[in-house]
Amino acid sequence: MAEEKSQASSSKMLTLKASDGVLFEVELNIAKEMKTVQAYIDDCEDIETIPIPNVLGKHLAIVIEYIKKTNEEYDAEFEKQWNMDDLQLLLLAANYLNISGLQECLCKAIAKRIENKSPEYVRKVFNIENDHSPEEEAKLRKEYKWAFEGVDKD
Amino acid sequence: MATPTTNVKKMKMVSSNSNYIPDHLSFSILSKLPVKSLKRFSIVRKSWSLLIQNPNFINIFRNNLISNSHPLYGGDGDVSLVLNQFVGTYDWNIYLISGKKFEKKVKLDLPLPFHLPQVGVTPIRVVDSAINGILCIYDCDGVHTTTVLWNPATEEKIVIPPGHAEFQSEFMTQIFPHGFGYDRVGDDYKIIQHVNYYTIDDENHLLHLEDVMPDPFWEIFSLRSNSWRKIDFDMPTIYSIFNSAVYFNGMCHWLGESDTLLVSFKLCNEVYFVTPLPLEDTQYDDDFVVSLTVLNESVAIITNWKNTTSFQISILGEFGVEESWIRLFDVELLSTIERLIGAGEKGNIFFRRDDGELVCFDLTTGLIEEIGIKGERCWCQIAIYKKNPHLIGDKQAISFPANA
Repeated sequence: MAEEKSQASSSKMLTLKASDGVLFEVELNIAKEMKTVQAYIDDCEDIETIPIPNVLGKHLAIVIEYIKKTNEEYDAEFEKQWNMDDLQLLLLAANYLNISGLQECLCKAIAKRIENKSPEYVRKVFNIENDHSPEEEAKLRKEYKWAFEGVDKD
Repeated sequence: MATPTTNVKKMKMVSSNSNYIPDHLSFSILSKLPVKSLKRFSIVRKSWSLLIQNPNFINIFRNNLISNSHPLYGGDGDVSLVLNQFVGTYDWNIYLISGKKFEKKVKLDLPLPFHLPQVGVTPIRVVDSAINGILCIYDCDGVHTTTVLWNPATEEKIVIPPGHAEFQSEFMTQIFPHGFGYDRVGDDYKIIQHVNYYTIDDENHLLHLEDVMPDPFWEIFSLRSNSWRKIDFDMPTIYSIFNSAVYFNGMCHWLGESDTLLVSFKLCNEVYFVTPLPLEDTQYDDDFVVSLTVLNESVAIITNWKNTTSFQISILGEFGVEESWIRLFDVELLSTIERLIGAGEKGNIFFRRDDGELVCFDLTTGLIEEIGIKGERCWCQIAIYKKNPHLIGDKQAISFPANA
């Protein structure tokens, strides 16, 4: 009985429209993993096409694939295929769509990639301006001298 | 047709700079970094330098540490505990314990060299941690006689040949295994031990007399070559044999010099680091207990004053750097801790309660679970264990993740 019920709800398809116009037909139970989409559906029950204006088709495809396949093994291999740019955009997408599992996975992946890097590299990656005064920065560099050893060259 | 609501309005274009990561996401990323990286990145911008003092951030950082599985064992649930229970001088038991409430307990049959006919079992210690399902056990009854590598799942045992220690009637010989570990570079299991010679004076003190006795020394055993080799290092030796040694990531760690120094010995290249512990003056006291363990991927110490209800945990940021210890936990319990006996998976801290029961405190839930076994005094040990059905030394037997 439960099986029939879930089949009935999962057979309903939804269309997601990415920012560049690419359309994705997904099953309702997949779409519901995106809490933002879930909220949209709750508001407008008979909607069929949902606009996702902040996510490119390329990334939405990856997100949908992740939701379908996620398990420990898949997650471990998942992040290896993407460069830093894509990882960040995927993280923004996961954040916007409110998918906590994917967010966790991506945060871990990005952390692993920057772990051994220099502060300059991290500033570039995150597009951050240094708001320390030169004195403050020098003081921190001195205080945490040990943390600067063995760092990857940029 | 439904009219747009606030939810729909949210779906508009948010930012034109598509790579701008908002603060809560960058903090989430930072909370997964090791201490060393966190300190280095305090230079990136002002708000990041204040993070480590932010209680919310520390909370998330802490939770990440204890909610991840032990790196040596992954998360596939086949992890259990090995408990060395001391009941009496010749009554020692090794249990394999598993289950969320530690319901499954299997008492193991100790390998033969440790049996004393009609007496029981020799006093035994498990060196460090179980590695790849292998326990390194030695008997510690005065004159050390036997060290064994033992895989309880296959019942395979390897008796380690004697090292370079000398035995003569004029003095006593003490052989003390300090570490058991896996050298990933050389694909080899190794044991490091210290040999000392002494006599006992009228006040029962141990005395090493330089002119009369050979010099104490360190030696390393390699399973591959099945032999011991002396090494000429002047490293601090273990002071208290209770929970002062742990293996992780190709290094054997132990507490030396009256539990004031952490020694970290890298097995593949025999380089070692000495890190002073972050002790306050009042803590150089026999009643202040330090236990060594590993939390997620950091070496950690659990400290407490004997017979109190609280304990603290600090993790190490960088070997050799005293300033890189970070205090992460200050826990106040309702039960009195007689003795801390180690850490298990995912934030489980084991201790002997003042009623003799061995219990587990879960750092994430704050709940205490009784194991259902009592232990005498401070001799009990606990280690994480994962069954390995292969023979010791089998190529397939090594199933470490990249950083083990």
